[in-house]
Amino acid sequence: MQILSKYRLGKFSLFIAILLFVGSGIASDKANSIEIRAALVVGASKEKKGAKKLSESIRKRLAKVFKWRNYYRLSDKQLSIPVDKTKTAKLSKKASIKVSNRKNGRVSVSLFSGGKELIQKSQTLRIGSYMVLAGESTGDSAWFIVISKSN
Amino acid sequence: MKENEIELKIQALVDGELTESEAEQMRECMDNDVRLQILYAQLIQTKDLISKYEMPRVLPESGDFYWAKIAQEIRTGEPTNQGSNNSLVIKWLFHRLAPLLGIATIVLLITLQQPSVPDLAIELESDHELELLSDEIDVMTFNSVDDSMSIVWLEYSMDIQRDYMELWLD
Repeated sequence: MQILSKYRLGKFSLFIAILLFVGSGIASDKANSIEIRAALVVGASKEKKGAKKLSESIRKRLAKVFKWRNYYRLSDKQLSIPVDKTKTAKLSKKASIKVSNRKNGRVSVSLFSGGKELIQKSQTLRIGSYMVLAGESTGDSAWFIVISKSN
Repeated sequence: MKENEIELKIQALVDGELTESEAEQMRECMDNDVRLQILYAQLIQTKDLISKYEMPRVLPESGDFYWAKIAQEIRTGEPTNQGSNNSLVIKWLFHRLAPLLGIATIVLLITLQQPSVPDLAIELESDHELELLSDEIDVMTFNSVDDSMSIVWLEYSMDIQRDYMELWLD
């Protein structure tokens, strides 16, 4: 308090300074965080009425590469991951992913099935680009986990 | 005895090359023949003249030195033989290895002329990393044409029928 009085700083000024310091830290953390969207998608040859359809842009991209024409969204998760942190998302009863925010926009995704880790894919994920993990499912269908970055 | 042979015998007598009996026989012949006596006297005289007035030939080097030189020539001749043996080995190797060297050169030239990486106009992003944690799963990775989608296809069937049921019941 003697120091405060010496430099003519009031309690209010000190409060503002602390607030700015904490605020800047939060803002910095927010700036380094990435927003990841992970969707579990099923690709099927037959059309299912009433099912949640996938966005047209992703559907078109998948249909260009794969034989299935119909894509339906089973689940959708949004993750905000600070830098050097990892978050987990359960996409179905068996499938879950672990997403890590590496530095310089690099994202690392681990795929788990029934608690067993199958693969880990790391890459720089740009806005508008997608990381797709896929495989066959029962019948004439396939599963897709579509990961994208929104900020 | 022929006349020619007798003259040769007298010559041999002058040179001291006849045996004692042969020399005695030749002396008896000469006693009876004046012509032979004259020939003998001429040969003796010639021999004396040659022995007295022959120009002495002095060797520039001693005999030992000559022998030393000959021995040296023999010694220097030995490596030459070894060298010729080496050249034979080299020739043999050349004959055996020349076709192989030729083939190797052709293969090398063909290899150098081929581009090391076939240019398929595919650009792969170098920062992609894939770690497969199960040996039982086959994986295929590829990018979409516009490079906006990187796909990992797993030979792994995931049963999502239950999820389907929930989806259709929603």
